[in-house]
Amino acid sequence: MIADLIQPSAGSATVLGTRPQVARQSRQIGFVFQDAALLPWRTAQQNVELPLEIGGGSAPRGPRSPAELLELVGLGGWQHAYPHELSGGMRQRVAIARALVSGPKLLLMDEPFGALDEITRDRLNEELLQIWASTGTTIVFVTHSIYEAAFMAQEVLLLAARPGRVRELVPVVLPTPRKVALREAPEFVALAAHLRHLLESC
Amino acid sequence: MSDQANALALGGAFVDDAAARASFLAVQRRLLWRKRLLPLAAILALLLVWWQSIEIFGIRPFIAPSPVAVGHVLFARFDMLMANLLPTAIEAVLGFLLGNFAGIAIATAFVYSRTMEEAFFPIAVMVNTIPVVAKAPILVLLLGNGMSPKIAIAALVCFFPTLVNMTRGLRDVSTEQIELMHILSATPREVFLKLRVFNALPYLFAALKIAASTAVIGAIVGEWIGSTTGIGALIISATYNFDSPLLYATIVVGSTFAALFFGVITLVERRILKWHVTRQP
Repeated sequence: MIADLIQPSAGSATVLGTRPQVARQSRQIGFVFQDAALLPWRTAQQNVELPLEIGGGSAPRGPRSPAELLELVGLGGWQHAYPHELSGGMRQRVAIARALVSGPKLLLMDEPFGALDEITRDRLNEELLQIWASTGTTIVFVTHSIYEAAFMAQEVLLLAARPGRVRELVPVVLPTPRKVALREAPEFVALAAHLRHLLESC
Repeated sequence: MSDQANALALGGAFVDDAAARASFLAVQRRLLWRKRLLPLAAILALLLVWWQSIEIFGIRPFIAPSPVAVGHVLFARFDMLMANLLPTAIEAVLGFLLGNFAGIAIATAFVYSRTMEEAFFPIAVMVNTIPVVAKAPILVLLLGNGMSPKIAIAALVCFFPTLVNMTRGLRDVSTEQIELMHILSATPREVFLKLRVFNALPYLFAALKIAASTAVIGAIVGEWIGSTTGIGALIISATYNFDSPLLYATIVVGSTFAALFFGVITLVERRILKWHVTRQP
């Protein structure tokens, strides 16, 4: 609904003070899919440039160039690689760079690291926090992992299923910047346990 | 024993990277030569068997010629064979271009209009079920005795595989890619040019490779009826004159051209589809 992919069945949604459609058309929203959804015939750099080509050259440009963004997501030197030459984690990094290229105010991420192995996932979690800190973009991050949610978030919004509804909004009071080691801290473990209890009582 | 096993053994034996690399490359080169030489050797062996059976069983030349006689015709009447290949080649290539262009255009229409597809796809299937030998006289009657009926036949046999594959390729884009385009507020034109066309290319080339050889067959069959030049006409006249060495030589020329045509398409595909995952190295 935020990305204007589906319409609300009742009521209305407001994104950045306007209708989702307007926010989408002015490129204030970036989106990262579950699987990277790269175009296989384009190199990493060309994939990142795609949003700039759509819209007849008048598409808004973010503050960083595609090459700088690839550098930011740790793929400097891989500009000319095709998606099939990249690993799952690297493809997802390209997708993040692509989502950032128009300089969105809001970045939507739909279980972006769900298909990755744990180590890669942890590393990308850390890196995404750095990207968040350096770009100042608001990120809405959907995940099934309690630890990922607790580690990444400023606020965790718990959703319950059948019917889909908001269960609770839990503020996360953990220090930033966060490193993976934080997950062993007692306050982190307590928060994760709290989130789990809430989910189980849905 | 095999080269692969050798490569493994050598790779394990060298600790030095450069040496291991050199031996690996040497094995790769040998495998490449093997791939080139094996079919050549098989062809030579087959020719030898053919030649010897003609000699041993005393088969008369008008039933089956010896490869030596065919080779002799290929050399002695090379100019005449090439003069007949030229019209066939022109017809095949023009038919190929026309048929594939029509296939791509109609596939595009199908993708954007279900009504068009539902109305015309059954007709396309019907036309495709008519045997080429039956299409030929119909088109000769319709289009006269020049090159045009042959081009039309070649185009018709190319058309169907391209239509089916291209429709599929244009349509088979992933939901996420479509959603991505939606989030970028892409116009339908942009979705087509930046997404669907590229997505369809591997499918298109699969069809083009089929079309390359069937276009030549189409042109040849078209020449069977009332034609005086071309590979097809030569096949007919050689058959009626019991000139089997000429018949075989003509077939060799026609097949070689079709194979070259196929090869050209494969080369173009390799250049364009560098990004394609299933491409063989």
